[in-house]
Amino acid sequence: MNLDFTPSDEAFRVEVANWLKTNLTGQYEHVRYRGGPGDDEAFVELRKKWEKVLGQAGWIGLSWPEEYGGKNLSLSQQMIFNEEYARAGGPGRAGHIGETLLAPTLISLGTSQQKERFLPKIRKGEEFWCQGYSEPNAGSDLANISTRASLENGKWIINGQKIWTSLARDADWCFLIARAMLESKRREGLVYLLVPLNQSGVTIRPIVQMTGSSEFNEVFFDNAVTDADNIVGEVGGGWKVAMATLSFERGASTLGQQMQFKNELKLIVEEAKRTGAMQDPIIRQKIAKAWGGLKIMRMHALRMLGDGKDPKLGREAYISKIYWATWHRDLGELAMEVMGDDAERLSNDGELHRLQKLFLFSRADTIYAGTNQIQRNIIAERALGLPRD
Amino acid sequence: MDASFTEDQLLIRETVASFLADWKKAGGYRVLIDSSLKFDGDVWRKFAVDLGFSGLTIPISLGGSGLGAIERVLVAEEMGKVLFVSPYFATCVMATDLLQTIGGKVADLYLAQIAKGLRTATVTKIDTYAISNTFSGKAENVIDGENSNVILVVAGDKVIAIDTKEKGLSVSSVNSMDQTRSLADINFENTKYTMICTDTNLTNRIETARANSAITLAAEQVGGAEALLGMTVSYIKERKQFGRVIGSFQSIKHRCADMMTAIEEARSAVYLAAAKSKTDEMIEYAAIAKSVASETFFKVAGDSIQLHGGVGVTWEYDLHFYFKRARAGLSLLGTPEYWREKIVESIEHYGVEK
Repeated sequence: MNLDFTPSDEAFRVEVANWLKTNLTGQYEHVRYRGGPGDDEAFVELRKKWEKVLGQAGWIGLSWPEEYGGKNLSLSQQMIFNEEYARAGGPGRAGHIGETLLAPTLISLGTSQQKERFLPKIRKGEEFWCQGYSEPNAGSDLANISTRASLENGKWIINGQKIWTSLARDADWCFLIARAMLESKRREGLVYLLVPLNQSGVTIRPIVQMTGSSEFNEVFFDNAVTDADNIVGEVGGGWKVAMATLSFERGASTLGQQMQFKNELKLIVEEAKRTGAMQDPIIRQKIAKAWGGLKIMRMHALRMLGDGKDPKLGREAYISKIYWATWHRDLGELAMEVMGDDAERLSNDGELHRLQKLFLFSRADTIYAGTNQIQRNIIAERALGLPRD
Repeated sequence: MDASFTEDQLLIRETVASFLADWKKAGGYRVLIDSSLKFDGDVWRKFAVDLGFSGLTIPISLGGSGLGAIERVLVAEEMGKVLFVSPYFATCVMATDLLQTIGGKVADLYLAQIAKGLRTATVTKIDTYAISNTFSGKAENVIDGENSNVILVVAGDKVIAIDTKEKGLSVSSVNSMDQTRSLADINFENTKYTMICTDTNLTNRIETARANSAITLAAEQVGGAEALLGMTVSYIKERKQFGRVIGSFQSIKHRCADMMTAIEEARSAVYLAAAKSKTDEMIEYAAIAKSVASETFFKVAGDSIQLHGGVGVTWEYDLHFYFKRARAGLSLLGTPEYWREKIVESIEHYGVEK
């Protein structure tokens, strides 16, 4: 166990930090610390433009093999990029679903034609993606999906509804799972399709959340169409592909998320000093706990990455989601406590303070990407070997 | 950057685990408790001398193995799993850390004897004392006081060593709730001592030594919690009520999931602190490890009793020994609240960046 970075890694860190210092300026000052979960509606066009800047500089596709235009960086360098990006206040990534979920899926399971068509546009920050998994009756029970897809005259025709789709209004494409075999049940008979969103068969409706903003959307497919070869994997093999995509959700990018959390904790400490809450012994204990939690989260990620050669599904991988989500929700409550009486005050134009947004949006953290209840089932059944219900 | 263990580290863990499995098979702590023994000298000789574990972190130049905090937390985790009763914690953790932090010729002499397995030692702090050519004072609740042949006393700006054979020293056994870690009161009356150091800045060095020891204590606590989770999961997979194993009920599964989450949290904190033990952030990382691991152990011990139902509160089942050890460990070497206050002081001083 050695948690130090090599000199070449440290040099890379300086390179990333310098690049961000030079480029995250001018008009992009507006998007520093903006975007990301709870704030995805902020400055969308400018953040998309920023993705192109990242793409041109070669900062998209860090983990991809070189043959697809990626940088094939080591895990420690990916970590460094994500940490420096968040430290510099880099805006929430409008392109992260394409870069970190779809692209690895295509690289491992897509056809060469699909790779050629889609990867360059993701890498250049020119096309944006969203993920169509959840449905009104398929949330925690994802295998219960009922959106249908049928192959007619060389086209896939899609009918049904997806929900809780992040970034859908800003995306050009959606990768989704749908039921291709009518009588099929559960995980059988599914297809994993790539569907363009700019067509008359697709309607996107924002869901207004308790923050007043709308990061999540409903996506309706009414005879929506995509080309026959926009299927990843086989007919009936959609579940397997969908799960492969989810497995890419863990990894180096979670370290960037932690740096965002650290920025939030920093704000909370500043606020606690301002309001005097910093002198309250109980608040002090909570701040210390939160700080420790951040370090622990980082260590979870490092343990998961291990020696970087052989990523394994150890216990730390099972608990990672419930840990950060619960930690972040607690942080939101702490934010309100340190604000004191001001916790209730909005700005003069009715805007939520960043800490208020954190408090409200973090209630979703323990729900999306597997609720805490589902996480506990998974831990109990898969990690501890307890019987299914 | 590599958060995995080396082959050598894993081998050390395996060696300890297999030694302790034999000890446990031969009755473990129950044999000692039933016979009112403080520890088993033969077992200790095998472990300390034959396997050479007493000198694990002592430099090679002093006859030790020259290994570090990572190796020691792996060893301690295994000890915690079986509640190993031995002078290891007092001698090879508390006393060794104090001597290594202070350094100097006299300290090295003691370290060399500990490494050889010739000495067992412990540490205590006495606030009311008289010191001249001899030392007088009274120490209470000294860990392994009866099992040590040298007592390191922190008195004001001095650290002294007192051989338990010296005249004027009397040790009396304390009946403790946790029977797996023995306590004693020690009275010194005009007792001869050896000066180890005088230092007006002693407090910081004592704190460093204590933080280092706390990391290893935290590792023990992770081991204890891990063993409890294992016992509980086995039990709930067997125990049937309402015609099904109780481990199939969600209320019970979810409690176990929370136990595992807390254990992995503590484990990460301990490994991280061990990896950072040579940096200037050591105190903060030790503070996280000790506060999280001791609370986790106590919580998991309580949950384990609850999930075992009625048998959980019996003497026959082993849970209470762990529960009592966990309670004792909450306050040993500083409470969670104490260590978290250290963290906040650091945040006030350095910001959240450190």
